[in-house]
Amino acid sequence: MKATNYIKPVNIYLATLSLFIVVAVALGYSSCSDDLDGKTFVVSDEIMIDEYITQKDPTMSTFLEIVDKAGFRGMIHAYGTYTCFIPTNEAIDAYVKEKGKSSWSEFSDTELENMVKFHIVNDTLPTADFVDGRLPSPTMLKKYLTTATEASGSTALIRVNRQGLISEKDIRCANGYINKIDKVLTPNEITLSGEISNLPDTYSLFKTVMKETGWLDSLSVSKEDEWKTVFLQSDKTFEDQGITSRADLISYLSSVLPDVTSTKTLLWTYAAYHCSKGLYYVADLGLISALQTGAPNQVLTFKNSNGELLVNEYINVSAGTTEEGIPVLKSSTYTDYSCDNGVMIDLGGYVGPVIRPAMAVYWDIAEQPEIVKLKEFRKKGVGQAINIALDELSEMKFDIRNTAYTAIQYCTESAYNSKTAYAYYDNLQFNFNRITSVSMKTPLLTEGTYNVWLCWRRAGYGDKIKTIFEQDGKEDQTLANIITLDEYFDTAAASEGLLASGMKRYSAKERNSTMNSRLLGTIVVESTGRHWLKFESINQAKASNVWLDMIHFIPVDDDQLWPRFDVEGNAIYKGADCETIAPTNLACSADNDVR
Amino acid sequence: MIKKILTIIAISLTLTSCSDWLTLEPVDEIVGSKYWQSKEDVESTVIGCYSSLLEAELMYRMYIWGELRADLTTVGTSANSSAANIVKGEISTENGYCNWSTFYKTINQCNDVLENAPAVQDVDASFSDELLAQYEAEALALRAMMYFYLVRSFRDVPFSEDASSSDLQDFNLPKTEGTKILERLVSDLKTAINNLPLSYGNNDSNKGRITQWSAKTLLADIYLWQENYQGCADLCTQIIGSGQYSLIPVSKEKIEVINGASIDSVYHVSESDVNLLFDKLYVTGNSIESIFEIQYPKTHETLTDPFYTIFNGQRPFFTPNIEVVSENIFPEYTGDDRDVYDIRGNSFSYKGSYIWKWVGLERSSSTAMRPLRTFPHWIVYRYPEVLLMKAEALTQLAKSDNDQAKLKEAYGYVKQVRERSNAIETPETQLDNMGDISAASLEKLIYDERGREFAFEGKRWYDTLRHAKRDNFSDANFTYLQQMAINAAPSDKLASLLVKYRNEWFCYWPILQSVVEANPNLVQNPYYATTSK
Repeated sequence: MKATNYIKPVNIYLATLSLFIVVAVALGYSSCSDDLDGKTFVVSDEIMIDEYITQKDPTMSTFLEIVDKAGFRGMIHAYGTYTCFIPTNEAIDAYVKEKGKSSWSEFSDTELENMVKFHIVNDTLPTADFVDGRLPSPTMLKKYLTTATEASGSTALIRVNRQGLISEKDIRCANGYINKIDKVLTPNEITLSGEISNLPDTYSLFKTVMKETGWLDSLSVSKEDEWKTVFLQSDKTFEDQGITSRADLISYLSSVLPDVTSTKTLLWTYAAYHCSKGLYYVADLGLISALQTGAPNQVLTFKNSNGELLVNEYINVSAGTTEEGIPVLKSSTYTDYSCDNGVMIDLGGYVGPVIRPAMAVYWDIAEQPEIVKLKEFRKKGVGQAINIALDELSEMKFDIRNTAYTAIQYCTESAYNSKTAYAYYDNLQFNFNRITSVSMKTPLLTEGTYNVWLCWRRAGYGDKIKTIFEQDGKEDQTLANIITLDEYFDTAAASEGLLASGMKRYSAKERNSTMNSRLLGTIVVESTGRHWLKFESINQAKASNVWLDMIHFIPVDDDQLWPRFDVEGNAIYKGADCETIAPTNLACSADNDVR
Repeated sequence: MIKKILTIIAISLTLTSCSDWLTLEPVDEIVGSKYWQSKEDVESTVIGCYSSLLEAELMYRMYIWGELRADLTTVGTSANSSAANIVKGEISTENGYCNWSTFYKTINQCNDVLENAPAVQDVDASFSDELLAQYEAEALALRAMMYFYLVRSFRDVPFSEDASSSDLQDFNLPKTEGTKILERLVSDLKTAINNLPLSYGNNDSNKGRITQWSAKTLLADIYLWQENYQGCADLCTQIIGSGQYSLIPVSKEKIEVINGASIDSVYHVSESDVNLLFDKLYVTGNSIESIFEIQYPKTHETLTDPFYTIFNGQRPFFTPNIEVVSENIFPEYTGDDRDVYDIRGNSFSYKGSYIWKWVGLERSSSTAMRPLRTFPHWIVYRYPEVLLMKAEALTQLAKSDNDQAKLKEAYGYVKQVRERSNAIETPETQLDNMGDISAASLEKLIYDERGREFAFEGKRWYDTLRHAKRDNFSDANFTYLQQMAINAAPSDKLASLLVKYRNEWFCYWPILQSVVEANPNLVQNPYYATTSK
């Protein structure tokens, strides 16, 4: 007679009965409660993960034996937050056989420990929180599992780590979730180097370059907690760019990197540009705007757009041109491809290093994505102040002192007035008494050193503002000058003299003491990308509104005084005829070019 | 009439012991046999059926089932995880929004009328055959409306014709196939239409009780779902010809604007007309273009405002998906004139993070409705829907033989709706510029136009599903679900959602787990049956 591990029927009966009582009590209490909150009655309140297996589902018992042997039983028996992917007994038998053993007990202790660790995530993750690609938290082996949804008969199932399918999901235990799987999960033990070598011939040029430049060797190094992300390019993506051979690639690279003469360096830079430190699955890339690459001071930029993740979209504001982004091939086999020491991402087009000259950016700060979409945006001839809720602005972050302050205002002027001559007639209204700080995401800044100017209409009771420039992974840069927002523009002094004291005139038509611009300081943009500029109120002056109009990022070697801006937002250069400056029917200040 | 509803609500409010507004019951569900003594008793039970629609939970589901899986609405930061998971396409069998009980409550009350009203003739001699037939017709039609919501949402559901004193689980009914239920609803509605009045003699009742016209609109909608396009078109023709409804006009002024290399003839609308339109449709309600509305009282001391709860407050539960609404649904005019705009866009359908149709007090200001003060009606059918249903039916009829006369007529109805709203013309909307109208382009335009016209009115998901399920979920129609996923899903859920949408059963809701467990004859939707625990 076979021995069974089932608990005695009377126990099942009691357990079931007590469950009913729990449910009944819960239902009784819930009669007045909000049923919007999802009716989750945790009936297995008292059962731990291991108890579930012993009491409810013996088809996962082998894994529990391994857990015992590996010394993890205490952990999954204790309170905690775990998500376990537990292979069935059949799955473990099949794995044992595949490895040429007759029993799991023939594996070494380390092998068993690693096996258990790779099946447990130290976080409670219902499958509803799984995203396409990697799980939000790593396994205890410090490697990530990936998941993907697959159609299966009348339903859809989740495949884990490209190996097992979840046959029963979200089994809620007191200390976490169990997901039952039909295969043992094993980490990919092949390094990035190995997997790149294994890529099919359709990646031949990429493979050649990685090998020749020595990057393939460095990607073979596997150290704990050192990860790399490699961005692949198939031959097709080179061909789309007109590159069909190594020689083509070299000549293309030398055209975009004219200062580099050595063929070796060109190819090395290309290869380095496709390797980043750190582990970045698609889910991670979607959250960052720029990623430092192995090529010095060269970044990849990322942007989510209409369901796609685009790489290196580049908008040249002053030239009014756009370089289209290259999509990450999310459904490619080689995207989110876990390797022993990192992950591979497959690109849908040519992506390579490029030197972009530092370029002045004259930013009208009302150009926030949510504001641009308003019907009222830059509506002509209308004076208005529209509340924009703070949490609605995706590219601004606020620290507020007064919780009643929930919105800033987008303001427009109905007609020209030299005292309110905002570029495009518009501005954003802030109250630095209520706000402790506001951070704004800058437009794309190319690598270089810039003077940063704030252009605003003076107002208030002496708010003093400090500015901090923040780049991911770099030290914050505090800008040199603290400015006072009620300061008047000095209308009497000559421009050149004022420049030395960090003040300039930015409104083109007329000189007026209310329209002021102050040098905040100099920043070093270390990598091309969108970064954050943070304004901190340092004195929380008496409550009053101020109107911020523009921020100028001007390379230090460029002209700081010109262009100025008229109310239509046109850049006006020195010597421009007054008739070309909006509003064109009005007269300009005398000696416009000098003061 | 309205006074009567209010009285019943007031009575019922005093009866509810539980202070929590969510369990508030507008009327005592089923009345005992003692009650069935006179025709007045029957009438108040019929009114009770309508009053049962005021339950907040019902309106939530009409909104959530119709919008949340689609692309126009998204969840605000304060929404609970059940709502947020629906947007992500992660719907569990324990998600409270799958709870259909409020619909069955109304169905049960309608059944009660159908079961008990005839016998009243025995005790009340003044209760005429004609009046009895009318009350029965109202109950039949209202029941059909409830079942139509259920079938569109769950496909197969239990079909109950018996009044129960507690609830439907008494009978442990199994599911009936959705197609069978719809066939039954069609025959019920045909019967009802013959006995329903054309008018109840006052405007509020005509919009709040079922008339022949609203029953015909419902039937046309069911026909459209059944792909009975001729039936749908014929009914729409009758409704259009009835002269009962019309679009509230908005006056416009023609101007010329330089747009790139060409000169466009475009229109500036009268702002005051647009403001008035907003007021008539969504604030005052029961307008000339309204066909059936759930008549929340304008002011009420104690009845909680469901609209305020989910759309208003500093952090609304549901907010417009601005990126989709402002870019895909309401394209901007490309010329240099910001006064050329579709009146249904910003400030009308939505304003900032608010779904303005349901909380705005005025279009022109940012004054929102306040709790317990004023609240709007929930609009089930409006006249533009008849025009667009007819357009859709004609387009489908013309698909096989490319009948240009039908397509032209269909396009005419779409233009009628578009012109009233000063819709922005794009290459996708100008279909008759180059000779023949393509049926496929027109089908897409009608779908888009419905998105614009009925944004946030609980239609979008049903529109998408109706197109996707056509011809047995044919491959060609998958684009509707695909675009929906791209627009609505968080990017890290897109790939899995596209896989799931390939499964027909995923497009319907699961039955709430506790309901399945309580009824041994009820089988879970197969998509959710195996994967959820």
